[in-house]
Amino acid sequence: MIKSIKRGLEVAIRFWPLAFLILLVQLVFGIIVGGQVGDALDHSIGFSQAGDLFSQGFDYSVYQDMLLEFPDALNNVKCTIPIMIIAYLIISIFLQGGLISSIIKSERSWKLFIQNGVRYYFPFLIIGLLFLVLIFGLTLLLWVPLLTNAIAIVESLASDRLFFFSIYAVGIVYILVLSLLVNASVNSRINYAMLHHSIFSSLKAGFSWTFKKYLPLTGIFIFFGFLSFLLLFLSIRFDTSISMNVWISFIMTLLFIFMRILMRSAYYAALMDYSEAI
Amino acid sequence: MLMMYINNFLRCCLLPAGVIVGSIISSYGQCTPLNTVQSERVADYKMKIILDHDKKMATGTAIITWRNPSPKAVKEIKMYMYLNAFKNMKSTWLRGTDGEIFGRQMADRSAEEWGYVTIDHIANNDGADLTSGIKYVHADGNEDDETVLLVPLPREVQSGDSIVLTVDFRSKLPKTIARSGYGENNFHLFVHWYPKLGVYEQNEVGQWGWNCHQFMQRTEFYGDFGKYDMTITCDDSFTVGASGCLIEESSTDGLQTVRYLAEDVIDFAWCVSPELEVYEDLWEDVYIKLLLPRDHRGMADRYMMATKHALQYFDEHVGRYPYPGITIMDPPFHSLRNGFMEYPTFATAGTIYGMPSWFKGSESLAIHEFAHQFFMGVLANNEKEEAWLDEGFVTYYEDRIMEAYYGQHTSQLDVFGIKYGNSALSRQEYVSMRDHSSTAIARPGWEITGDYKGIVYSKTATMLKTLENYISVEKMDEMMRAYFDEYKFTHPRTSTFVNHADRFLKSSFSQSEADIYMSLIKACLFGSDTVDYYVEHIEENVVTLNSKGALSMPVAIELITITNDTIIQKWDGASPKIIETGDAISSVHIDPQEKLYLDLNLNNNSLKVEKSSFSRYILKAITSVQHTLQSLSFFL
Repeated sequence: MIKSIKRGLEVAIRFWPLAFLILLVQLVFGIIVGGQVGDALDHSIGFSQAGDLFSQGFDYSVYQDMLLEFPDALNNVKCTIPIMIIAYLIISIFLQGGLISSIIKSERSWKLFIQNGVRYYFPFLIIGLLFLVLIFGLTLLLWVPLLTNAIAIVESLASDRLFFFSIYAVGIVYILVLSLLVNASVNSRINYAMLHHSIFSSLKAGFSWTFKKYLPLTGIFIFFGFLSFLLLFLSIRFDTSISMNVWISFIMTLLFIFMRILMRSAYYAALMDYSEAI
Repeated sequence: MLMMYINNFLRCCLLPAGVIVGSIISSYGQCTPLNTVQSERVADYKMKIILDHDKKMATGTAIITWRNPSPKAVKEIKMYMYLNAFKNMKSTWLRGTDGEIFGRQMADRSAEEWGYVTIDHIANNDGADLTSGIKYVHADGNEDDETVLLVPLPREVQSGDSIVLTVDFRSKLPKTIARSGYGENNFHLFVHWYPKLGVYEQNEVGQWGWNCHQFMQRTEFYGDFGKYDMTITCDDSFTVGASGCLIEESSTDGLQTVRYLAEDVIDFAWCVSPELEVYEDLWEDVYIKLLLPRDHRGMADRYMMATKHALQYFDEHVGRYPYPGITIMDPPFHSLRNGFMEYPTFATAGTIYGMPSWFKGSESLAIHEFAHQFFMGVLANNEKEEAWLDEGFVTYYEDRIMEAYYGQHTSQLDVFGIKYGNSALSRQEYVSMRDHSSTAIARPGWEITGDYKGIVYSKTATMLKTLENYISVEKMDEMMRAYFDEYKFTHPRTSTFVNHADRFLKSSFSQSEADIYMSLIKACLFGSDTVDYYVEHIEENVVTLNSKGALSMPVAIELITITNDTIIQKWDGASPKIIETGDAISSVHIDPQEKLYLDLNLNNNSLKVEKSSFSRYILKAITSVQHTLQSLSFFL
C-alpha cells in the first residue's frame, strides 16, 4: 500500500500537465461565477462607500443591508451554480477518461488524452452515474435519519456528547462504505480501460477486486482523501488568517487547488499501481 | 495550530472539573446574605418543600406575609399559579399554539407529562380556612386558564397592615415544554412553581388594584420584593442550585435538606440534578456559582469569564450588583428548553457539547441573562405590560459588554474571515423585519403581533445605541447610573424612564438638543416611524440627499471634491437637501460615523463617482467554485 502511494505520487507529479489542464477547466467555471459575483456587487454597492468597506474585508452588516435593498442581487449566482456543477461533472468524466488512460499507457500525450477521453466517455459516464446514485443512496440512508431527527434524538439522550459520538460513528461507517464505492468505481474504470470488456464485466471486476483488497485500498482512499481535505482546510485557513495582496492570495489558493488535483491523480495512479495496471 | 486543537479537546473532554476553573472554593459559605434591607419588602415567603423526584412533585407549606402598601383596605388577594400554564392545552400559554411548541407536538403527551400547581389548604393568620373560597379568575380572557387565583379574605387588610397566609401546596413539574420542567436523569427545574402574590399597585391613572396577569408566552415577570427563606429536602445525590445563598445544609437517611435565603428579590427559582457539576469563584465579594452538566465542562471558564465581565461592566457603567451571589445553571442538552431564562440571582444559560470558541453565542446568552438581574431583578418593571424596559435594556447592555470584551466586530462570530458583532446583529434584527408598520416598543406583550424580538429587544437596543452615539457613552452612563440609583428596588414604568431621560437630557444639553433626543426616544417607544437616509444623486458639483422614512435626526454630511477637499455640512433630515459646491464632487457620505444606527439601510448613505473594486470577492468566488468542483468530482 505504501509503495503504491509513493508510486501514485510520483506518477501524479510526472503527469502534472494533465492536472494543470483540469485546473484550467475549473478556472473557466470559476471565472463565470466570479464575474457574476462582481456584477452583483457592482450593481448593489459599487458606488457606495460601504463598497470600499466591504472590499477591505467581509462586513456582514454591509452584506445584509445589500440583500435588504437588493434581495435578488445574487440570484444569477444561485441559478448558475447548480447548472455549472452538472456541466462540470459531465466534463470531468471526459477529463477522468483522458487522465486514467494516459496513466495506464504511461504516455503524456495530449492527443492520447483527448482520444481516450472521447473513447471512454459513455462507459465512464454510465459507471460514474451508477456509483453516484449508490453514493447518494448511502448518504441518504446514513445521514438523513440522523440529521432530520437530531433534536428529538438529543432530547432523548442523557448526554449530548453521545449524539456527537454517534455522528462520529456514522461518519466512520460512511467513510468506510464510501471508500468501497469510490474505489470500486475507479477500479471498474481502470478495468474497462485496460481490458475493454463490457461495462457489466468491468463493474463486476471492479467490485470483486475492491472487496478482495478492501483494507489496503481503503488505506489508499483515506490517505489521499485526508490529504485533499487537509489541503482544502489549509487553503481556507491560509486565505483567511494571513493578510496579503489579493492577487498573491489568489495564486496561493490556486496552488492549493492544483495540489488537490494532483492528489486526485495520485489516488488514481496508486490504485492502478496496486492492481498492477501500471 | 494542532496543539491548540489538542489543548481545546483536553479542556473540553478530558480534564477533571477541578483543573478547569483555577480558583475553586471548597465551602458554600462564600455566599453570605448581606443582612441589609434594600427594598420595601412587601411580600415575604418562608417555605418548607419536599421533592419527590419519582413523581416530579414538590410538596410543601408556604408562609406568605403580605403587607398592604396602599392607602386602601384590601379584601382579596390575587396569586400567580403559573405552573398551570403547562396543565393542558387550554392554558393561555399553550392555547393557539396548534399543539406544537418549538417544533414539537404537545397535545399527545401522557397525563404524567403535564404539570400543575394546586393549593390543598390555605388559611390566614386568624386560622380561618380560605380554601373553599379560592377560584381562578380571567381578567385577561380565556375562561379555561388557571394561572391567576383569587383569594377572598374574610377580613380586610388595612393600609400598612400585613396578612400571613399559610398555604399547603403541591407543584407537579411537566416534562419540559419551556421554563419549568423535568428532563432525563432526574433533572428538575422549578421556576414559576409556587403560589406567588401578584402586585398590588397604583396604575397610571391612580387607581389601586392587583396587577396579576395570566401567564402568556412572551412575558412573565412582575412581582413584589421580599425575603425568601426556603428549605428544600431532596435526594442527597442531587446537586442543588437556587436563588440566594445557601445558609444551612444537612443530610440524613439518603436525603439532604438545604436552606436558601434570598433577600430583596421578586422571585425564587431552584434546580436539582445528579449530573450537574459545581464551579465556584468570586468577583470581588460576589460569589459566582456555575452548575454545568459533565458534557459542558469545556464551557466552565467561558461562562465564568462572561459572568465576571458582566459584573465588572455593570459596576463600572450602571451600578453595583446588589446581591451577594449569582448562580448560572447550564441545563443538559435534553433540557435545553429550560434554558435561556432569567430569575433573581439565578439564570439559565444554554450550550452544546463542543461549542466552538469562534462562536460566542453562549457567552452572549449568559451575559444577557445576567443583565436581567439589573433590568427585571432590581429595576423590577412589569414585563407583561412593558417588556422593553427589561429586554430592550438588557440587549443593549449585552451588546455593549460583549463588544467591550470580545471585540466590536467579532463578539458573536469570528471564523474564516466572517465576523459579526452584537450591535450589528441587534440592528440587523430590527432593520430586516418584514414589516415596520407597527413597531412601537412600549406596548403590552400581548399587543405586539409582529416580530416580538425585533421590536422589543432589537429596536430598543438599536434606539439606545443611537442615543448613545448622539449624547456620548459618558453621558449615557451618567443617565443610566442615575436611573439605576434612583429607581432600584422599585417598579419603574415607561413613564418613569421617559421622565428621567427628559430631566437628565434637559439638564445636560441645550433645550433644542434635548428636544431632538427626546423626540427620538418617544418616536421609537410610541411610534413606528422609520428612517432611511440616502444620496439620491451626484451631478458634478451638486448632490441631492433624501429620506424614505418619517423619522429624522440631524446628521453630518461629508463631501469630498475631486480636488480632495473635505466639506462637512449638517442636515436635519426633515426634507430633501441639495448641496452645491465649488468643485465637482467625488463622494458624499451621510452620517459617516453611523451615529443614526436606526437607519434602515446604511449602504445607500453614501455615493461616489468612482466604483469600488471587488477583486477580493471575485477571486474568492473563482477559487471557491474550483474547490467545490474538485470536492464534488471526488464522488464521481
